[in-house]
Amino acid sequence: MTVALHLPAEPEYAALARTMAASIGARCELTFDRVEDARLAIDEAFNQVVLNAPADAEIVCTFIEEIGALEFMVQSRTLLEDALPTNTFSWTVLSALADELHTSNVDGVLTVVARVQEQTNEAA
Amino acid sequence: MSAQKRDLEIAEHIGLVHHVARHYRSHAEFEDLIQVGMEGLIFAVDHFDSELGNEFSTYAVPCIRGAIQHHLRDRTSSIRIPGRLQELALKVSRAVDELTQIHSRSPTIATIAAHLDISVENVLAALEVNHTRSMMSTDDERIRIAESSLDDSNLEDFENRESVLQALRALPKLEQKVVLLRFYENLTQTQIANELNISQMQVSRILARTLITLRSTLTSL
Repeated sequence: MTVALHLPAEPEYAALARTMAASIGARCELTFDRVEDARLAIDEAFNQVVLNAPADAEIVCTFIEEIGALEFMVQSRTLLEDALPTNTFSWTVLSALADELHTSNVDGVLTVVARVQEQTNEAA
Repeated sequence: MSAQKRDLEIAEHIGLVHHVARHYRSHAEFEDLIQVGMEGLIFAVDHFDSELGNEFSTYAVPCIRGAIQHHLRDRTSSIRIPGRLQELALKVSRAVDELTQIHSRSPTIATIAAHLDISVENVLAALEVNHTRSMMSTDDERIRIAESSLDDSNLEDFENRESVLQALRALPKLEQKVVLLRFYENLTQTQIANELNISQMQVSRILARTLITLRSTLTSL
């Protein structure tokens, strides 16, 4: 199942993205730990995308619901020439939170895709 | 003083709390003020020395006022969380720890909801409260922990490695430790909670708060 949320490119709307991520994470039957990871991850991704968006941009957050995994995509028009840099603290944070992570910039549209799934970390 | 006598003393002087709290009505929820003021009153009952010849109220009123003022100062944010939600967040936090103990793994949201006999939506609301609270007072989290391993941790080569290091060093020890364990050692929140002997909700609150701090430090450079 896919759910999409269209938000203004303003940091305060991160709260809505977080709430949606947690809510869908619960539907995916993720554990508390992973729901919290998803919440932090989308907060970080949302903020990075907003930071590089033109003032009037719209951010689209798309969530893909599966049992045991939540995938989300944060997307907007961007001022960046490339995808998000990956040698930053922010990217390190995202990499630790998500099991899979990609960023791209196609024709001025910046995308961050992250997947948070059950087990990987739980096995430890 | 016997517990019974203490209770009586407290009950007898509740009026003082209401009296003081009324002055601060416009600053916060009246009920919260009463609650904080009560702490001041209890302190006063426990510490009042009648041998000094003062009236109890002379001693108690400044205690109550102090407690309330301290509370108001401590609210670094203007975000108001209704008492009902705070209570809910506390319940969820305890349930998470209990369930983790029982099953030795992090519970699902549905499990938490079933355990507390509340809706999934309520559990989610509690999580968001936790996130919001992360921007507020940190009093209950000023826990001393062992020296942080910041200096020997394997921080990768950031373009702005030095500024990241600097920003991390500026964090309180506990925050530093939690960030390093989560993002560099890749421990789960549950594992960090066990290692540092704090609750999972505290770990997630610290992470949320610390990321906000670091983000603003690093982007303002």
